[in-house]
Amino acid sequence: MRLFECRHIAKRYGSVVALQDASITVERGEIRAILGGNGSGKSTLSKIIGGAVAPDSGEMFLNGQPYRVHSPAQAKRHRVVFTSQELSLLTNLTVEQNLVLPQIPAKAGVLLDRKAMRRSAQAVLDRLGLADIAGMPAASLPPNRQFMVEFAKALLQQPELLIIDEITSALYREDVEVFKQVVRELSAQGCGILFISHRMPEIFSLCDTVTVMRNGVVVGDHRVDSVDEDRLLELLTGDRQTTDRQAAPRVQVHDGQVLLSVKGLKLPGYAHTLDFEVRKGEVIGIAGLQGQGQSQFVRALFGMYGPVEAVIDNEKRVIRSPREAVRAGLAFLSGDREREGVFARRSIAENLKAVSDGALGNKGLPVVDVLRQVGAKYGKVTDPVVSLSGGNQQKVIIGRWTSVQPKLLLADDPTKGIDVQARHDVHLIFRDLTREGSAVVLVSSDDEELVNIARTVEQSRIIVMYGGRFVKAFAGADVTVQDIIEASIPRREGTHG
Amino acid sequence: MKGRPVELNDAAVAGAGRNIRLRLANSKFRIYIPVLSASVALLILGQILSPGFASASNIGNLLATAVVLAIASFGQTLVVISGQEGIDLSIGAMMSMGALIGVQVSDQSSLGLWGAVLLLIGTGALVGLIHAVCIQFLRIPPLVMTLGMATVVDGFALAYTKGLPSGTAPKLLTAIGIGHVGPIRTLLLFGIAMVVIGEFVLRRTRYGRNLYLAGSNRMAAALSGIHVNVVVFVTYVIAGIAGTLGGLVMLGFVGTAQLGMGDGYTLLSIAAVVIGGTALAGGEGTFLGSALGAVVLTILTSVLLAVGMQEGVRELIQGAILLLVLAIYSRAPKLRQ
Repeated sequence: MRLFECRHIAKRYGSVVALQDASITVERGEIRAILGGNGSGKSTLSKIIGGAVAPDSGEMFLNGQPYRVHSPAQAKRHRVVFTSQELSLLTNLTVEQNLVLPQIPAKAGVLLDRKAMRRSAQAVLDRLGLADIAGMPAASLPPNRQFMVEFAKALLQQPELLIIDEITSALYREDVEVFKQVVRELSAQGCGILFISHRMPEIFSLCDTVTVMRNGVVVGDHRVDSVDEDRLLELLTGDRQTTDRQAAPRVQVHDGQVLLSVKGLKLPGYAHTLDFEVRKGEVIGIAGLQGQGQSQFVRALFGMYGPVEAVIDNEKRVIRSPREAVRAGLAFLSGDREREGVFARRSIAENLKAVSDGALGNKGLPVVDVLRQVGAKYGKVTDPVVSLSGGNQQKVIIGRWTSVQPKLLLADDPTKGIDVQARHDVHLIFRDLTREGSAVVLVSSDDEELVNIARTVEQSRIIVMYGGRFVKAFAGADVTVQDIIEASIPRREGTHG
Repeated sequence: MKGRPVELNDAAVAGAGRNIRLRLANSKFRIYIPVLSASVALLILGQILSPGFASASNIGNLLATAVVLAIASFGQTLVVISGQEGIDLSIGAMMSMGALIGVQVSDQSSLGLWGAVLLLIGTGALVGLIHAVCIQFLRIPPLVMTLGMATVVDGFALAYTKGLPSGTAPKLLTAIGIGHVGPIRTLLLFGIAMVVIGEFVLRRTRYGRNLYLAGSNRMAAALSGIHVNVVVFVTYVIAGIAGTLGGLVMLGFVGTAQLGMGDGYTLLSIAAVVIGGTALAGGEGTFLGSALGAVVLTILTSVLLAVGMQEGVRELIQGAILLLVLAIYSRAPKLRQ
């Protein structure tokens, strides 16, 4: 009997289609990789199987029986276990306590066999080579060890179907080997494994089969030994001619003056440093799979993680805080409006003047002019800002910055969750900024957005990040979404050095 | 959304006079309508229960009494607007200390009243500074910090006066506290001046505008380059100084100083601030609102007194009403998104 099967799973979030039509099967002992880029739906699918998200339509079967779960706890009772990078550890407890706790049933018997629990926890830790850290508080462990503990926790549930979401990207090489060994043992015991990953090396060395997803649809289902990397990339990007693209387009040398340059920029959570340069009138798009350091990069530039030494307009400056960044002519636009952008209880005018009046103590451009410039639709400037739609709120926040004519705008996924028209307007505002000699560094999880912007401005580059490094740069004029996706996913032969 | 205020008031407005009333309802002052109508209703109730309650001289007394509470609410208003669970539970203790030190220093040392004023400004600023450092840098919640500080301040006042405050209030203070300018109570004029200056600070100074922004969203304020630390420091320092100097005014109003005489003002000031339309979540509020809140609370207490209610029962009812009012007002309105 087949272990698991799902048919025609679909899921929407509002107007965004996360999953359109996904069907996969897992046999006993099968290790299946699910491969896909940003927004391909792979994470949504794994969350649906793990019980964390409810599908809109489709059917699932476990051991031939209809499988319907409404929570991860319920999924666990079916011995379907989901483990992810988003840590679920209780950091103030020790590793051992973290492992023992989830085993205590909700309706605890009077006598719990704590000794047996502890023994089984110890056995799993030994198996993963983590015996020495059993007594340490989880908070004191580095992220890679925490992931291993997370994995140990999943093993203790004795899964029949184990879903592993991108766990290996944070592990050290030794741990990866142990991890693979354990996964193979599980498979030998008949456990089915769904391995969500974008790392080719592990897919080819560990998995039996691979499902490729793109835009919420399953586009390929292959035995690993019957495909090669190029074919997978082709499926991933939907591009027929990917096979030989080794010669990346050369980045044009712009004649614009260097606006800002930093050397040895340190990102939190990464050991290495980055060098970076941006020119006047340039737009730089920062691309990559989610969580590869893009957001940290622009935030570090804005002084959010401590002092940054930069040369701005040929002048050496040390930026110690966002406040000093603003005074140096930098601007920061967050996609998380609610937390980092909007002053919900204040009026449109007050929101607009937060930088000019609040931080710099000058008049800035007149409120009404700025609102017209950014194309915000509003009633009166004294209306509360929350009376506007999300897109118009974001325009007001952009106006906050354009009214002080910043030299460099840093944007962290600024069009997240706003409608298509507003999104387009925002792109045009960016273009206008560069025409006035400002520069824009834009992080986006939407590759298409980056390509669109890169094409509308005269000078643009797209830099792809992976693991906190810049792995590739493209000239903006002729970059394609396929180029970005291909560069985002590391290849086996270490193309990215 | 734009039409909302009109819709809300449509029900209340009927027939003739609609335009005028709509204009009133839509003006800035519409948020004060409930407070003002409650004041009038309580005055009428008081007059019915005890004739003479709404006489000019009694209203003068009520307003003067309300000013002392309004002064207590001054620092509280700023602290609550500053957000991040901002609340000042030390205000009562600070006022007691202000009165105790004030009477001791001005009456029994060579420093005199102005020496006492300077000393109290210094003490108030110091306490405010300690609050700000602990809240902003050591991340101690304002609730815990100011409550703890209240005990320290009480202890200091007790040690300083050795439990036996002596002396009477200086003449200038009693002139402010119980004197008249023409037919009007001096204290009322004092209160009006305070509200006007306070509103000016909130609306016309960069500190005031940044206080609203930082109170509404600390993270966004910091990312906009606003000096959030400075805003928080200034707020707690002003609140500290307002507390000790408020104690002096209270001293002038009462005439003598007693240990713990300001204790009741802590909860009352929070109630006045909340009734006055300041959101407990921060980022919103005015001094005028807090002053009007103080008026309502004062009249309410007075009505209970006028009925001749026994003290214990009165306090019980007053406490219950305070809780009810706080429960009604502190439910944050749902925002869009």
